[in-house]
Amino acid sequence: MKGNMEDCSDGHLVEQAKQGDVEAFAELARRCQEKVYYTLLALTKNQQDASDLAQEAFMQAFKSLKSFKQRSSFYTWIYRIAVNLTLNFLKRRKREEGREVLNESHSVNKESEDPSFSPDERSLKKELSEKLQEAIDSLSLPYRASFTLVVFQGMTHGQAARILGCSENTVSWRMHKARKMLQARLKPYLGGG
Amino acid sequence: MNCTKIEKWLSDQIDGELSERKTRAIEAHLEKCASCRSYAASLEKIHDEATSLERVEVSPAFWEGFASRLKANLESSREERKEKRALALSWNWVWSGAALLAVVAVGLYLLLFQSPQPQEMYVFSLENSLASIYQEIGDDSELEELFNSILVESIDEYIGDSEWKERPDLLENLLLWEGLTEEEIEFLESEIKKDIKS
Amino acid sequence: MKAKSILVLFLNIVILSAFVSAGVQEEAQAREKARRMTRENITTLMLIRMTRFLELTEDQTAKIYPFFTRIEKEKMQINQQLRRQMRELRLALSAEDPDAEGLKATIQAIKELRDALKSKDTELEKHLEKNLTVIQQAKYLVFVTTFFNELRSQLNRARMMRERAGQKEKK
Repeated sequence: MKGNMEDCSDGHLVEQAKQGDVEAFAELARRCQEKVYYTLLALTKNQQDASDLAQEAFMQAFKSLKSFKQRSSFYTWIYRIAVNLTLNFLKRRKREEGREVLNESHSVNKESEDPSFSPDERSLKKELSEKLQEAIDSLSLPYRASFTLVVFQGMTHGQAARILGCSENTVSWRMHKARKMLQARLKPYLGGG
Repeated sequence: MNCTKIEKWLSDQIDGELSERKTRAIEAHLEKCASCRSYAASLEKIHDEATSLERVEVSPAFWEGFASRLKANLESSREERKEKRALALSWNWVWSGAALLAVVAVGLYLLLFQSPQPQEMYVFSLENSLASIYQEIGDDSELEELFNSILVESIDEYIGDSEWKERPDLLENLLLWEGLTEEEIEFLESEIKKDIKS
Repeated sequence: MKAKSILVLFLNIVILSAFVSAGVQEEAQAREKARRMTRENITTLMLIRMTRFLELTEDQTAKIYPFFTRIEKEKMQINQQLRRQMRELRLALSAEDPDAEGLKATIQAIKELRDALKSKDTELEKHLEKNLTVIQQAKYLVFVTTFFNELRSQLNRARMMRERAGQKEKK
């Protein structure tokens, strides 16, 4: 059974899922779960939250399948639900807590251990890595969302705009501002090069 | 050629969103402007670093757990669906947002109730004003592009203002509301209306 | 021989016009996209300036922004349909023997769309009425006039920028 599902095209699976076929939907979810999870992780900086929100997004998608008119790809649609769910979750939590969601112990940065760097270069690179991660985490939501989709998920401005439900112009502009903020913050670590 | 525009274009260039014409313009500018050259180099370094940031890999066991958890929820949801309307359920996550807004709306309604009745407003047509601007632009795409860059600069200026930094909620509201679909916005509004009426 | 060359010529024209119309269609789509972006920029700037000029509170922005965004999206769709109808109207008029019944239907459609646009503006105004104080409502009237006048001067600025750039190139 599982083997059959893996060979099916996305469109076919969507049709079946729309009829209530749980296996078909589960296969669709399996195909994009990693991308969705890592995007939400970049936004929430918390593995548990990312996992819970991803689950919720897939559930919401399953329940709303009737209204999915297939004008966009299934993945764009899922992504849109997941990202907007997460943004609203974070916004709500921020209101409740009255402060920015801080990145504390859930940094997702790994040390760079490329042996081709000298010890000094290695620690400089490590520092830049860490500081960059911190700086990205400190971007406010609209900027972090756009940055995550465009830089980490490799989307075009248009694709990111469709997911965030805003104009392409807004995404371009947010990317520019995000980069300006990162550059200002990381000046001391960028070195002479 | 001002550097603010170049900086924006440099960002678009990194994302592969820049036209050839603008790419040539950047190259010409960079030959003369050391500050923009340095900025361009910084952006490249940041981009390279960001794309090579390693992510915490999760174990296959995690994905298995994720998939089985999802499947279990899907099965039980399918049972529930037989009793409830699917669309109503999909708005669950909007409820919490609506609940918060409802609290805000009730507070504001109480305030409004005590203020004087609003005067009748002269109907001023936004559409006509916009139409007259478009008429002036006509089919001049180059003019429209220049006009847009001026608009974006103005938006930029305002967003950079300290006033907005102190009220990040305003900016977030402006830009994040775009993240909701028409149905979601309608739903939130109807919830607000209900609370204003009650 | 002659028939064949005529056929070839005919085919070339057909292919060429397909390219041209595809090109024209592409151009039309590009124009739509540019127009959409212009509109979005104008409305974004308008919301930002309005917030400051009217001194909107957080509660007010929470009520006004989403409504504004929704009305905007609806107006954009109506405008798209309107443009389509106008194109059809021009096309119908360019025919040798324009179909009166067809024209009547198109005219009616255009009138309805025009009325729909008007009612969207009224809907927005009513919503603002509900959510603004009297002073803010008065400020709004002043604001809208000033805003569009300033937009016109930005447009003039864009024209001057282009002239200057053109003059520089000549030098």
